[in-house]
Amino acid sequence: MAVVLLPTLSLRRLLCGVVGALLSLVAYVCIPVETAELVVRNLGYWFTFFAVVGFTYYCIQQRAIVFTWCYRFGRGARCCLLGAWLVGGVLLFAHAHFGPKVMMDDAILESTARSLHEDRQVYVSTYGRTVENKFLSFDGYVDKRPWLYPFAVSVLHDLTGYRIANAYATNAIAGLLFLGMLLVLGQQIAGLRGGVLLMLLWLSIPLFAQNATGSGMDMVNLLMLTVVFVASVLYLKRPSYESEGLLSLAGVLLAYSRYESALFCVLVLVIIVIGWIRSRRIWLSVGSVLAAPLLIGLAMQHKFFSASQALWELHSGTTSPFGIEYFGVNLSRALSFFFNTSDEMGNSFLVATLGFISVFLLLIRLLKHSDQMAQAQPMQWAVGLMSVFLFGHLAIILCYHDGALDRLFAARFALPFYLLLTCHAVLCLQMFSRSRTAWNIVFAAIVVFLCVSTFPKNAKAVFTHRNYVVREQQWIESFLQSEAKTRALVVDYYGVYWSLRDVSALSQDIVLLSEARIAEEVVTGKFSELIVVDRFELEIKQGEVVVMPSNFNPESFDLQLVAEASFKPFELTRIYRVSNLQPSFHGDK
Amino acid sequence: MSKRHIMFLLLSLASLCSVWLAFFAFDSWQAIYVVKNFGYWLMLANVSVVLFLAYKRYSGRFGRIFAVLRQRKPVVVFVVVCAGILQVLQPHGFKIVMDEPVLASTALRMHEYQEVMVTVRAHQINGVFRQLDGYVDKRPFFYPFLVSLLHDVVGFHADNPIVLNGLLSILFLAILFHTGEQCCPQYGGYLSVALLMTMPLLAMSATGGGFGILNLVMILLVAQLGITYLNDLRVDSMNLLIFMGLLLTQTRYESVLFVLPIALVVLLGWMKSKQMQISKLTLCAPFLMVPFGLQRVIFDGSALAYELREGAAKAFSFAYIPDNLVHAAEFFFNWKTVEYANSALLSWCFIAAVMLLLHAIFSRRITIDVKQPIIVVLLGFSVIVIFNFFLLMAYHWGQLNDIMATRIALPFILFQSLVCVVAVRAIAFRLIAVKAIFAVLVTFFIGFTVPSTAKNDYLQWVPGRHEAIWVQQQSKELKERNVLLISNTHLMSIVERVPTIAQFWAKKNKAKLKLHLDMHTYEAVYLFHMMVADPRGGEGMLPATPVYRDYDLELITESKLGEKRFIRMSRITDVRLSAQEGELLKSLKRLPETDLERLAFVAETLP
Repeated sequence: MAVVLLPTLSLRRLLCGVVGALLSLVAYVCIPVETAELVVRNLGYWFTFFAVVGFTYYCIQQRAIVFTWCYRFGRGARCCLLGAWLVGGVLLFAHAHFGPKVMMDDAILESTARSLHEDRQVYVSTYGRTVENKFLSFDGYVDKRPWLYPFAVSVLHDLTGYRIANAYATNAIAGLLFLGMLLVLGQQIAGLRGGVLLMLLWLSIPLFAQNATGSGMDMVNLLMLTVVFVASVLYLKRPSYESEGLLSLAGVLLAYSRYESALFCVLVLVIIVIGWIRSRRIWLSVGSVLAAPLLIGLAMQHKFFSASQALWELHSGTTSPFGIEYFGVNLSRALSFFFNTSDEMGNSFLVATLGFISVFLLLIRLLKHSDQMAQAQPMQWAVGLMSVFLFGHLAIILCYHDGALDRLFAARFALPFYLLLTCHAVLCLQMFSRSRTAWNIVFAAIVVFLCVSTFPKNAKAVFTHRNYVVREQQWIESFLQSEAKTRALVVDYYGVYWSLRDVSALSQDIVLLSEARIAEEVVTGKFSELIVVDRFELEIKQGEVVVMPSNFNPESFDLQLVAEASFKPFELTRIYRVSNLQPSFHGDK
Repeated sequence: MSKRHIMFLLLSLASLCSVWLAFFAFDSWQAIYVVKNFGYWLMLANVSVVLFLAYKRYSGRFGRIFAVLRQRKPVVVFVVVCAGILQVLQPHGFKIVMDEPVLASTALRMHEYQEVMVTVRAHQINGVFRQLDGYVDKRPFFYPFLVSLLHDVVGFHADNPIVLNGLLSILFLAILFHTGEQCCPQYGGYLSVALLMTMPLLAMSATGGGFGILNLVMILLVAQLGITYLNDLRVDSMNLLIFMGLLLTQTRYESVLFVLPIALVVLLGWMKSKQMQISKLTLCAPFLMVPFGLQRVIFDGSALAYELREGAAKAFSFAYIPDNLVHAAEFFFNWKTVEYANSALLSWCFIAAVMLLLHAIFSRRITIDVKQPIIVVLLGFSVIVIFNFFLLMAYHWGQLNDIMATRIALPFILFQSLVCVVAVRAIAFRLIAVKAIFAVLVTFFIGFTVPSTAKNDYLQWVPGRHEAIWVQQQSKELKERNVLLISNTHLMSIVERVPTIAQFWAKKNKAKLKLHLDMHTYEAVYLFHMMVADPRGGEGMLPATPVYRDYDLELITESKLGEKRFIRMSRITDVRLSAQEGELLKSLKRLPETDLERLAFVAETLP
């Protein structure tokens, strides 16, 4: 094979590729942790920027294929596809609860997006203050999260101006694009009906709607997964410099969309090699040559991430973030998530049932016809390889110390695996159904399931509203908007959340340490007033509800209670105004 | 025994079995359980079968339908404009607050829990709006089911029942046009729609949240399916007629009687085709009637079900008929006052049409050919409409000039308009006469209907309506906050998805209320209460219920409803407990440890 392939390789491109790969390796090995952090902070934006520019260039290059694909269908079929897309969009957002879903993650990503927009830096602001009518960040850090989603949000900020809603708009747009990609992917697997079926299967997963209306990075990750999937099919069908470049850069962008998505770079590499073998030619496009250097940002981030134990957010008693010992427990909890029938979780029982049966049937078929693998269609190659990596992805999640999918904050990790389940369901139906009846039955079952399970779940949104921190922060925010003076200093530990909203916030520990200075700053007019948020345990003693004392007892502050509410059973959140500290105005009586 | 005989035997057996299940197998409590838990699924099955059969029967004709619509643009424009006019004639919102919030609450329960039940107690538990206690209502639930589907597809909006009625009114006018055209080919469609447009009651129903418009749609749809079946005699058409008929029976109480003309049409179809057309699907049909029977079992088991007015001993009696007919005449022929949502023109036209038709029949100018499908079906349906009208006359609350009862006459008003159209055809008016009729209709619409609808909403005397609407407005404003409402019109808040309990329930559970007030489970607890004239003749006003004895209140806002009649929204700052309630409170206060236990404690102790 090498004899056939090597003569087709351009030496110049090979050289560039090798240099690029070496450069990445050297950078990872030689650059110290502190410098790595600086590289990510200052150059991170540009890695994704150039990857996106390259990706867009290849998309434009491949436009003819898209048009050909569109015009292959009659007018009726095109209307049907467009109609399905629109209806899918309506159904996706019909029960929308736009708002943060995982409090800290979402706020940090939004903050990174703001820094990317304003300073082109990968940076999270934890404290800021308005100076001369401009809110400036004074403290922060470089986050561990890959930044494709913040980058996308920053682009929207660039185009429409900074607003928090852009984070949700980005995911909503990604959700709509994802629906479109599903139609394309399903059509590739099983024709028009396959596209519609794949889309309906996804609409039956409440987790999908939850992420499309949040400000997390999972929606963009899903979108990029399907982009890589479609780009793989495109490449395997018609290998060329353009299709290979598109696939390579889609892989790079996917790696920047979630921590564990870097795994799919290997998939892209495997598919590219298979494409070379199938076409008996090594293409090695510019996109592929640049892929390795473009991943330096991610490598640098991984370097300082892995160097810091704190960034793994290990639970107490947990010694390592990954381990085979977590697999068993996490697997049983994953199964209990996938097959849950209550309204507590954002799973789809129907997709799990159809998906797991399909995986089993396809596996049997694969074993039975393993000798014919070489003759497999490009689509089958893509589904097969993607499935292997999606299984690998699930295995990694299950080996993660925080990978119990039935946990409120971990359920979203299941989204990539749902791509495998749904694609297999469509492929299985295509391969095994002899008549239209089976398709009609599945369609009817999905429509009924949507009405009796998914929509009610979306409407109740238990898995969203259970997050009491979001409700609490929104309550504090509405209080500050209506009751607090502008440019007040808030004492609360969600500094990132407040910094995003141009509110200066310090944690209780810091305020206690610099109590006298802060008091002076209020008097001298640096802040208009001091608002304290404090949280208390409630207990019942001798038949009375008792508020347990707080640890926050500054000597020089007179705390005047202005609002209180409970968002978690037996916990009380109170908002105080510091009544003895006000800016001093000479002449006031 | 042939296969057909076996099928007939099985159908008889299924019918007997379903009658037993519907009326004899369960007592009232068991019936409640069955309707609550299985009602939704049976309705879903019924609707699915209808959609399946309609797809099977008409899937090949979608193109033709669009082609016809394209050809008949003036008709489409006429119908859409008329439906649009209906929407602007009256304000949108709940009209009859005794019925419509009940239907809306049932729809909300069906949407979120797939249970046929009216929620009367709802709380926010751990941030999630949870519908807790409720009751199975006497009202048929096809309309709430459709509203729940609308919630499913477009998301929950408290206005969805009203939106649905807006959409249904377009469908209704379209089918009415088609039926009118069948009755009188050239002008019938326009005439039937124009006649009904003069009736303010139609606009009122089209902008409300009741099931009146759906009932009209279903009557006309089923009649059309009956005509189709008698024309093509296909099993699928028959099944579609039967299953759509089953939905009609679940639309309004008295619509169950339409089973009789449907059965007649099916029998005629069998006679015409000289065979008993029974499919496996037909055998299932009787079982879908079971919830209707079970609701009657529940209905009969409740003393309050018929909502007997003061002084009324029986719900139905021949003795009510004369008096109710006088009220009906006052309603139908009213010219003087604009307080009735009537159309005197339609009523007089109807009388004239009946006289002309009778004269034409007796003078043998026209003959009725009962072999024609349209005549058989329309006659059969008309008999039931007339019967239902007299049933209403025999009802203790059947005074048509009372807006609470007026809307029940909608099918009879539909019948009036179609009779007028038939008369126009029978007499074969000349074109100039028909044009004159249209001119009179338009003049009446502009001169009477529009001013009448502009001046009032016909609801000023409906008891408790202003109170309920005010509570709904306040609830809407509090929707985004974590608050608990206590009121006597609690359904108005529940249909806005705001945690609410009834005032009597709060009073009964004062200890629990105090506990959660202390625990700050809610940001605030608001009480809606009335202030009314002092019955002892004093100058001031007193609370209608002894709220000051039970709670310490801080007034938030109030509104004047009438002479010495105010409604207030007050924040409960403390709950006054009796010694016994204090003891109960102490018994509630145990300390749960884990998060799950704490959540369970909150859920269990909520009032």
